[in-house]
Amino acid sequence: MPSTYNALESHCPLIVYIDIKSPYAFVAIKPTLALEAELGIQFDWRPLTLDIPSYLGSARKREGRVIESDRTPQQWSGVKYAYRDARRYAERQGYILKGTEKIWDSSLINIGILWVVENDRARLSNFFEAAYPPFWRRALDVEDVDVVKATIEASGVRAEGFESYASGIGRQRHDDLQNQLHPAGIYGVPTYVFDKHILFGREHLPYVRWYLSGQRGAAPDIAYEI
Amino acid sequence: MLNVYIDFKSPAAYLALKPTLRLASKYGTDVNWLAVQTKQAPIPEAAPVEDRGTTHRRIRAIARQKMHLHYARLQSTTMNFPPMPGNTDFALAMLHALEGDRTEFVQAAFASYWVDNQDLNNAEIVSSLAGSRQPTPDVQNSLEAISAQVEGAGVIDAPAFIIAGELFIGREHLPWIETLITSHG
Repeated sequence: MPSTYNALESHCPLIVYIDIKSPYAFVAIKPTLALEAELGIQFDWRPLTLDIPSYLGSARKREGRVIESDRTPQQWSGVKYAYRDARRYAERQGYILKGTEKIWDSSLINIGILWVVENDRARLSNFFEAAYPPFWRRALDVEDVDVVKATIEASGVRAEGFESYASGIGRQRHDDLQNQLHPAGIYGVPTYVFDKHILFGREHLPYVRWYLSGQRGAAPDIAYEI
Repeated sequence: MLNVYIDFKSPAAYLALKPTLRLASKYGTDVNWLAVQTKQAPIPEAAPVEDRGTTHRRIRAIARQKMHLHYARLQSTTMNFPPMPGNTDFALAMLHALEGDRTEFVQAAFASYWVDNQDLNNAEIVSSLAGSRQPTPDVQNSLEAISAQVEGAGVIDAPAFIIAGELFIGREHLPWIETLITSHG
């Protein structure tokens, strides 16, 4: 259990940065977990809590209608395509992906990742399954500490003490890590960090697989594996 | 028929060229190369004081360029980023004006920009790439027509692929596109 995190270093051969409020992170979870199982290597999963309004403008919806926004038309076009794109892949994975109604503060559920890693790493995939699909069905309030505790428990991990962890050492570890990310060259999710590579997007999973499994044959190009 | 929207100054479109042609060749699929004007910005200089969004965009721009160069090496594709992104309007107008199979022109124009860093807004250079078979395009009218076509198709970046009514942006979608080629021809 690390007392602090270094953004680019790990005891595992691969660090994976994710954030629940990114649709691209959502559709990356399943194939990344599958790769972890395929390679028989434990990955170091970590939170990257995106500050979306700082680079993509902010917006708020109610009942599907935009009620507040400072996004440009280009930003909206990009956001709409991103959701459409992630949705079709989510559906292929058997999930529902509904557009979020606001930009969530996902730091609490992201501290939940640290909690699960530190307390019961073997159940991390259960935690992802308990958190991500309901969030993208708009059925999980990730800003509510009781909801996050219940999600931790639903994944089979004890949640006793989570509240004080989330407002104390867990918050501190999370915030310390976030402050290291930009200077380390990490800016989005999912990001894969391994052996001096920092690659953003699940399209790099073929390369990650090739690299971590001995680099035999020609290196693959980017691809969303289906 | 696979519709592929490209801009010669787009690094992602350039790196999509070989895999797209390989896929098309595998299934004997025709590629309809179409033009889209994209915005390419140079990597911003780090400022002594930056807000979070500016830092994010700068870090992202650096990472994206590194990533393109990484995969260019893996593809054995020469890729020289010009110091400032060039204007490719004339070449896009030419692409729009050309009839028939435009693959040869597309390959030549991409190489001209990314290998030799030539000016693809220069009529003489672009005309030499297109050969003697075409008259000089009306750039303004062509760009307006391109813009209308792109807007109608919902294309927002390059490379954009349209097949069976589905829009995909980026060559990472080629596995899905392949399934659509095999199921729709």
